[in-house]
Amino acid sequence: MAIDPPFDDSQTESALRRVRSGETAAFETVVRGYERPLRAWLAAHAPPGVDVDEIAQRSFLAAFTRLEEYQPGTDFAAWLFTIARFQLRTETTRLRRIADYHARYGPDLLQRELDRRSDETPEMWTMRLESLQMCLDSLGDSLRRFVTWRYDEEIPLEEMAARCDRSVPAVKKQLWKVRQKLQSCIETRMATAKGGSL
Amino acid sequence: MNPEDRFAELWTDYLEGELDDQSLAELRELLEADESRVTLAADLFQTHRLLGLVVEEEPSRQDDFVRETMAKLPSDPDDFVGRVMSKVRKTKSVDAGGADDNSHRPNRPRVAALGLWVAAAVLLLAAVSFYLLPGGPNEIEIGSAGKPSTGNASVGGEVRLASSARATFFGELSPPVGTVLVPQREYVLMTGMVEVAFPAGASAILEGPAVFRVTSGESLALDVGRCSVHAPDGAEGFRVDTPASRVVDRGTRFAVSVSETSVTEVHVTEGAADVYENADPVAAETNIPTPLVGQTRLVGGEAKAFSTARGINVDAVPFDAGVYRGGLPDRVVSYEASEADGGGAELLQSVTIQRGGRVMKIAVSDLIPARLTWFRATEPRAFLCGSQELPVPSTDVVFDRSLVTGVINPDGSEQPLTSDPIMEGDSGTPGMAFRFDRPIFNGPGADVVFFDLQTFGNPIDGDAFHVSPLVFREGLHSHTIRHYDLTMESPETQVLANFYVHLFAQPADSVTQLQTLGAVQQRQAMRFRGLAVGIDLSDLGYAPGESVDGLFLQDALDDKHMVDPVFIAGLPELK
Repeated sequence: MAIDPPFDDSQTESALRRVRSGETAAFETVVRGYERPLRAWLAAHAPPGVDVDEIAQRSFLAAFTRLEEYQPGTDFAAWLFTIARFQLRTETTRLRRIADYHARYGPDLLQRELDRRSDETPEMWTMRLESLQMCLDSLGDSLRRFVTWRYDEEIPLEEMAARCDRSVPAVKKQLWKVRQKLQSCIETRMATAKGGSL
Repeated sequence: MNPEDRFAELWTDYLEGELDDQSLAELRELLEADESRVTLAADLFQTHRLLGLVVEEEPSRQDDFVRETMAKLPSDPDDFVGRVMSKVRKTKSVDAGGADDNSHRPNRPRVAALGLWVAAAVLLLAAVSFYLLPGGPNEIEIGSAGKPSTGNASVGGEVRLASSARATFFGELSPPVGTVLVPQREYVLMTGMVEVAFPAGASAILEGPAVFRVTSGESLALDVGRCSVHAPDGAEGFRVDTPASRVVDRGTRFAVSVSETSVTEVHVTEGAADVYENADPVAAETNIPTPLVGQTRLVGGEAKAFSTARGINVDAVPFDAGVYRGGLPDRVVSYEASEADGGGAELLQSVTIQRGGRVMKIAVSDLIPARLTWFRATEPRAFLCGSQELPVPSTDVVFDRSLVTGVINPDGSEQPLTSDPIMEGDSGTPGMAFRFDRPIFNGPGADVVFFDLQTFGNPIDGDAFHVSPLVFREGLHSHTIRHYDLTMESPETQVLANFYVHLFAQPADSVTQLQTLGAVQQRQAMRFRGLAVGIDLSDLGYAPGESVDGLFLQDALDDKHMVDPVFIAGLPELK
């Protein structure tokens, strides 16, 4: 199953026309069409402490309330993601201003690196998300279960350790290994995809 | 331990929220010492965040996000008050639902300090909102018992129709999903089901026939019929008023049934609900505040009936877990299609479907194509539709992505098949067969999606047809579909682009004849709509997980109208 973002201009423009004429419900088409790439992009670029869904919803709300500023027929996706960038920047600025943020959430260098990557296109992040889904499917059961425990069931490390009869440090190593393996798989798939499109 | 191993350990601790201040300082030093570690850290951080997104990316989650976002939209983009009130409601829901209630959000940091920080931030926001934003109560109640009516018809403005399944309303078309239900308006649901979403998170599934009204952002009046209520954390206090009683949620799932004689049965599936007896049901019907007397607390697994026939009566009734409905039935929910130059839907792009309780949007490219392998009609009719000029062979258009091209008016039988269809020679079985490009598997809910052309002169619910196995065995049987998921009356059904029908002067009794016989093109003057239904292989007797290569289809010959398939495809296997 795939949930591809439509990036279908005609459909989006048609929905936006209906929204402008007062049919608020038509905005659902827009939200449904862009929520996945928007949340994926935000998830990848928001620093720790930022509620991704909240920023995504704020972005949609801003797009809705400022729809008069959007010029029909231009690139709605680009316009929406620009709003999202500003929303994210506003939030990270707010966080920075909160005392102790850096001490607690730390690595400035991570934040800087994420900022540096923020120009990467939403389409690329949708591709990465799809690649990750495929990589997850190809992950062996022994590693896959750690993903399920950590991201689906969200159980503590201690419980993971008990379930697999290993120590907590061993579980941490497995998580490191899983993330590295998936990262590597994503990179390979992305490189293949780029090569294939030439 | 070498620096790379130590970095791996620290970075994992960081992602797991288990890094103390001393270790954080050490991590910083390691990052500053080697730029490649920063890149790796960012890579793994992003993968970590995407994992949170992927694993929780259930289709229902997507629907929740869309619903939540839509619920936050002001009713008018220029309505400042609406925007402010939307934020007020949000503040309330945060306050009621707990500051750290982000269980469905990606990247939920579990470090306690972060939770405290988020809580502090939310409290700060809530405090700021409280002092800066106008308004006191978050919801204004109309005509509810015990409180004076405000007379403000706009209350409950955020109560929306969240979803519907084969819903028909008396004297009107079903409102589209997302529609704000008008407060105090009487809705008469004749058949089917609708789910109504309330701002604080409660939802009610109403099953037709039912007569109901939205009375506030936290209440519903049910005059007759059945509704199942789920009030999650933050929505406690949600209530259902019936002529005989008021059912107040105390954090629960319950079902309320109101008979035509106003007897109210309450079945509590989970949690608890308080039921107050209504001393003056006549006054309740007129929305005059009515005195409530008595209180009965029901907990999970309990059921009682309340009536006012001869005074107030409360009787224990056997609890029936089946009364509560947790969701709408599996079905084709909606579809997306491109718009043709002259207007109208043309190329199918995606289908949104609920399977096994999960709603998913499936791109047309992920559907499993079907190809026509047999066709036999006994009378001359229009057998093909599409553009004026069809490709060669013309049957190539049968199940392409277009919703206005297809093989229409196949023959059929009043009685569905009970044995293998014959697909050769003069004694071939009337109807059509199609095979999938690769086997499809019987999973939860629908396994095949079917689209039909229909116009207003045709049956509203869709043309009935039989679908049968290509090869029968013990346990397999035909299944007749008489009611489509998306009918002529469904708001999700789209008006199609214009097309031509190709009228044949003689019956076609094979696919080859369909491709070679001469036909006259006729442009359709009427606008048609694209109806859709899901076919569940379980309904034909296939076992769960069993694979199927193809199916046989016949019109049910229950009226003069014949089925007009324009798109048939298998659904990808559920994972």
